[in-house]
Amino acid sequence: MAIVEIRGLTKAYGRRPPALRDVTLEIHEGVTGLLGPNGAGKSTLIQCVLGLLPDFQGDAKVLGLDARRDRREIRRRVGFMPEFDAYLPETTGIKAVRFLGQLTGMPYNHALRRAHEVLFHVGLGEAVYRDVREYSTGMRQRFKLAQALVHDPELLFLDEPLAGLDPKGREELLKLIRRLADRHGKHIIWSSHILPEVQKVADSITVLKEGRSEGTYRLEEFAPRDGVYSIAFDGESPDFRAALDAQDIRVLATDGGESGDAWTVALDPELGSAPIFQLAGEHGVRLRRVKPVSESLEDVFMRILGGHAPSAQSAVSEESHHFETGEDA
Amino acid sequence: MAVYARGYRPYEGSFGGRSPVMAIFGQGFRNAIRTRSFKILGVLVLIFYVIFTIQMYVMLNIEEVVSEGFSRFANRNEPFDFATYTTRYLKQALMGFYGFVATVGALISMLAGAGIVADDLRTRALPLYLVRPIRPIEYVLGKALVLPAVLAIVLLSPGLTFYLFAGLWQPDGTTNEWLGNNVDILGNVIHSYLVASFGFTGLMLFLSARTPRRGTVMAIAAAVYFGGAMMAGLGSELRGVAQQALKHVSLIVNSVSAHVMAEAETDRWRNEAQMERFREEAPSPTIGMVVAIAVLLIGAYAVYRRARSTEVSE
Amino acid sequence: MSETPSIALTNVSKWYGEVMGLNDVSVEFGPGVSGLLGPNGAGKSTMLKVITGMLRPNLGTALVCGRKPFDNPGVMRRVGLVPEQDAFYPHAAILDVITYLTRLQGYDKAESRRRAMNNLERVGLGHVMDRSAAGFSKGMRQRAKLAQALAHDPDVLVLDEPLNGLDPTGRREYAALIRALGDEGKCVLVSSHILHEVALVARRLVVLHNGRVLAEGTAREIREDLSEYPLTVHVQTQDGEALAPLIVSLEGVGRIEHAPTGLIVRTTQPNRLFDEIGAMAAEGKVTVEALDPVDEDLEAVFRYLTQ
Repeated sequence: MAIVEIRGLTKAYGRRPPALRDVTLEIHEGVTGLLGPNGAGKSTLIQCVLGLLPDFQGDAKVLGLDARRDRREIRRRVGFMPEFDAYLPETTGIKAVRFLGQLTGMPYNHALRRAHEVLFHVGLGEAVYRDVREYSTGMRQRFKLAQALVHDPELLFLDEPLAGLDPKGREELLKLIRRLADRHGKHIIWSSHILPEVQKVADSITVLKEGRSEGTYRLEEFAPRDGVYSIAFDGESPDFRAALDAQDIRVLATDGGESGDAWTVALDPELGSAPIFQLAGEHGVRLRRVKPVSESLEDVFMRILGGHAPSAQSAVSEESHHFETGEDA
Repeated sequence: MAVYARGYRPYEGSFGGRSPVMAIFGQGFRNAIRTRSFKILGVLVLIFYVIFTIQMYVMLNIEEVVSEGFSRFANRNEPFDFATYTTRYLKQALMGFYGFVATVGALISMLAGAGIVADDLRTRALPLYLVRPIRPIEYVLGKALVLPAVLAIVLLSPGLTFYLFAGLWQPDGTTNEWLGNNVDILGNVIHSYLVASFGFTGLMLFLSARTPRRGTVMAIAAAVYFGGAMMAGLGSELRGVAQQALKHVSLIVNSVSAHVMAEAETDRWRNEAQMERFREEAPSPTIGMVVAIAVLLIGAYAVYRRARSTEVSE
Repeated sequence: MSETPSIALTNVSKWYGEVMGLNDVSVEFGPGVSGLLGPNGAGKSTMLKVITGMLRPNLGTALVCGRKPFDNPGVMRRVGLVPEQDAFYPHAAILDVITYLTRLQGYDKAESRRRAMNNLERVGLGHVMDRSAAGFSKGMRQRAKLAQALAHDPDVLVLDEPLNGLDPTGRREYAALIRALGDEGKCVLVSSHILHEVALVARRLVVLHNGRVLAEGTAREIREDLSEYPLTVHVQTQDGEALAPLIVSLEGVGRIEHAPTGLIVRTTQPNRLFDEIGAMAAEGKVTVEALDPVDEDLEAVFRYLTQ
């Protein structure tokens, strides 16, 4: 079942060029990364999915509800975590989350109980009784997630959910959110510019560009590229490089510089990685890593933005996918 | 023995709680009465209230004082009794009380009400409301109820209790009769409270919905309150249309106008010409109410415009 | 004043009241891009403030290009800062704002304007330089901050979360620009929480934790020093049964697990393992499809260091 189903959605504000033009897309179960450059129309899509957009052309369904008619019911069943810092003035974590639960229709006692539960779940511990203004960036991020979760929504919309967190916090929150999808059946739309994290957490991605949909893709279909390896080695690189060239093994990238920290090489897929080991042995180079390379989400994304949709091998588009070319302006 | 599911649990309770209006109102009310300015000014009103109550007790219960009061409040050629004396005294007392407390009420609404919407803008809480299943009008109603509730404490309850005390301190068995005969005093108290709470609420909602800065809201509100009062004062020096217009521009003056008019009616001024002049200068309670309602509607609309925004992300 | 762009902290401690910001930190940064990592509250901002002369250390000395930065405009002329928060005057064109800020560094008006224009072009804001920053997206503001930091051509650049708010394309361009600045010989210090992006721009890393320097060096050097955490190497091979007995006796090799795709080997002497497997694969004794040290990346290094 499609969680979000949008057909021919066009939305313009005033006389400016439309924020979304004839967008058709489907977002499916699980975790979906919502990607797009600044100004691609993500905010407008957020508003539509949250049932906040009163007038637009086309059709949109969220959790099977009509985004024009059932806007309140949608908001009862969708949770939203904004990117920017937002909190209720002068109040403790528990009171703020309880209050937002009440706004969703939960009776006071249930809202209070539930507020404790979600705040504990996101790991705020005793800080729930403290003033929200005293929270650190990391705590605020968790607090915002609790706000979005208090009414047990079926669909969560997270806008840069890891912003401002330190590496440990990022890993913890990412896992926590992934678990919400895996164990508790929450559907998650994860809007972010940080593609490696999207790649870690998402099942699929939806790409917007200049107000148009560039399609929805499942990540599991980003298969390793045949015959392309990432290698790292210790030893003299010029000889090794010459030997690779001589054997028709192409060096595609030397990201770590000439030191051999992260080269990307391509060779005949039939041969496997054996020639690399062989040449390394001959030239006294110690291989530390030889690993088939999957196309990174970043590569795929850049190609989509460049107007080249992923090939069938690396990513297969869903039925909702349609191309718009030649009109980029 | 059992090991229960750990981690996240689904919510199985109902979503049939009270209207979100009450939750929004409750939140705003608690925040308003928690402010230091409300506490300080509230104590000021309380002190004033206690003094007036004691004075009233003395005026109505100590015999020597009562007889002196009779000579002050009675007309030469009319039958005069304790009930009439109470009525006249109370109307005068209420005017004195409200003449001062209406200004304090304006200060309280200014200081405790400045953040009513502005705080939500400053902390960007508005989007948190918008993504909940509430209607813009529910947000407006919840916010609009806050100041009337706060002002009920300082403006409505003292007047009500003065009225009740006056009744209780009538001779045995005449309490209900006095209360019944003087229900117009109760009407004036309520009228005056409504004008103040509509006007003050409207102004604070309007300003608060315009800027996230409390300080700005307070400064403009102060200019309007006290500038308005000064202009109304100016109006009493003029005649004609200018006077009619000017004497109604002050929300504070409008909110005490019911008491002013009531006192004018108590014919304490034996000189007919003086009384005529007084009636002319005092603003009309009806126009005061119209002005207050108009201000309230403008303020409510400004908040409604805010609450209809759909900007929940950047 | 020293000619080489450099930052040197010697036994620097800084506290706020009773709260420790930096605790006896000695570290040097030379030309090139260095990454500054650490959990929230590790002391990174304090360190950046000490370097940019906003705070004076309670103990120890901080030197930037050989001189003390605190309250020293002469030194600050050689330092450019991209702060995490932004504060651009909202009512003026960005070009005018940066021109003004550059004039404060001692350039005349025409020169300041030229520099402001060049650097706005360089960060990709050439087309909007007559607009006010109030209407800028987060990514554009981030670029504007860099243009401002670069306008007086500083030798030392301090960048706090520089990629914040940029979209993927912007991140790529901005990262390339940072690398280019390092290659020009500037001393560039990048503080960030997004590890893979730090790894992308900086080779040398400094990890702060609880106000102290926990480690410095390249990710690999630091990983090699963490000998209490054996390296986990995933050896993808069909010949797992044959390979396991050959490497089990190697020095440093601990547990070996058989997985459907091959072997998972833990070793404290990875070089011995790599040499052995490399030799066997080169000679064709075993077929190794892939060799993957799974906890060698910056994320693993950071996790081990700060846990």
